[in-house]
Amino acid sequence: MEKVKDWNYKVVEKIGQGVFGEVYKCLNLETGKKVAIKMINIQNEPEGVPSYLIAGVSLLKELEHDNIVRLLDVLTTGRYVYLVFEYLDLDLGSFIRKHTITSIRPHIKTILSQILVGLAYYHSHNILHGDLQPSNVLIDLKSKKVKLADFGLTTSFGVPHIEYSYKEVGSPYKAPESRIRSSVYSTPHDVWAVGCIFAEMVSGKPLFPCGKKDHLSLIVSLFGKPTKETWPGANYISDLLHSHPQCEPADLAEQLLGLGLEPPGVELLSRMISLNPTTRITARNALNHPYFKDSHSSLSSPHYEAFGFP
Amino acid sequence: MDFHNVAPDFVKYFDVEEKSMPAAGYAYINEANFLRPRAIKVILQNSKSNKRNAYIPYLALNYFDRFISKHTLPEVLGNVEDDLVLAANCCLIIAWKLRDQSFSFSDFMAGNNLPRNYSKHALNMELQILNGLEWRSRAVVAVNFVPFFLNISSAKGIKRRHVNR
Repeated sequence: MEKVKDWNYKVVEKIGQGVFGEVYKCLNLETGKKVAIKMINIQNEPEGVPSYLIAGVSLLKELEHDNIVRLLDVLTTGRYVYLVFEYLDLDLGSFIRKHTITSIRPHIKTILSQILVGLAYYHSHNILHGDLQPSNVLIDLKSKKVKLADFGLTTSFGVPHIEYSYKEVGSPYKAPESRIRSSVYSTPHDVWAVGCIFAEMVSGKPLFPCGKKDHLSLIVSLFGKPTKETWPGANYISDLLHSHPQCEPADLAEQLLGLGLEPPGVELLSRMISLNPTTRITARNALNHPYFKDSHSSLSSPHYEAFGFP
Repeated sequence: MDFHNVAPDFVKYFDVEEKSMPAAGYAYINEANFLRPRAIKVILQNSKSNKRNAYIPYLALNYFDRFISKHTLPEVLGNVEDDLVLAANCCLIIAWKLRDQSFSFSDFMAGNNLPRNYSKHALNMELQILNGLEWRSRAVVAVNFVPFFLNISSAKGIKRRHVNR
């Protein structure tokens, strides 16, 4: 990161370590503005610039949206590529941790609608995120905007194939079908992640927490034991499911209503986390759901209600 | 042109086409007139192994034109002829990587009898070209408009197989 000095940036601190490299908070010494610089090391030098980087950066340069973190510049030296992004004060994960569920409640609708607007915009351009989670949802305290980060770089991995196993590694926000078809990302996958984020804003804790139980057990305890009718993926892992006892689905609706979520919100969430990806609601349709009836969040009126902070 | 009856995709192409064009006056730059025919030859010759995707050589030439219209040929290998061949190959490689995730540089080198030390210099050239293109590798090229022109009344008689050829 020493090299960024040559481009008039000062490293403030390391703020993350992603799949593609390290992320640093930096200061642009010319403008005084904070930026996030993602440093990518081209490890397989003989193969040249990776195709995910060529495709991903090109997409990010092409599309601009209020609810997507902007790529400001691309700098290169040797076998390093530095992606300079706008910097936002806070991520949704920290926001949830720092506040009580009661103090977050008034803001859930506007945060969720902005996430969905950004996602619907990208899905309309055939771009998938693939790794949505609260730490990738950033909040700009000044403009009161929510912006999705890490778009464009996770969409182009791998040749589609089916693995007849159930992967336990990875983010707890990944849709169950993505754990079976490990490299196939599709738009319902992103909507599932938004559903998990929605539930986390309501309850203050992850819908599928890491560590306590394996992901499949959590799915079974929430939805009951899936069948090939309720979840086509059950076919592929019937052996694994065999070891899980029959159980009744948990009454998530009751819990969420108890936490103050309105009935239309419960209905929307249930459609976002439908086990069957083909029946899962799309980001665009979610924006037209009655839950958002009293907010200005539909795609046709992209002026969002600003939200104040507790 | 009346765009009222044009499919939305084409309207989008017409809107963004300018961003995919070389700098104005490109056709009159002497250096470009000297370099371009040689680049075309390299791109056509080395794209033969991917007959299924005609878009790739068009895209590669678009990168070459846009780059050379705004920048001088990068000095990587030490002489103009070698640098020109490397630049044309790198334009093709970038286009190929964009369109085909399974592209393998080592297979490309083997398929086109390129020297072993080539890959060492290719990364440098690839990055210089991408920087010169401001990393805007998703370009609108002539191939994008083929269905549009096939649908206009005067072109109705053109057979699909002629276009494919």
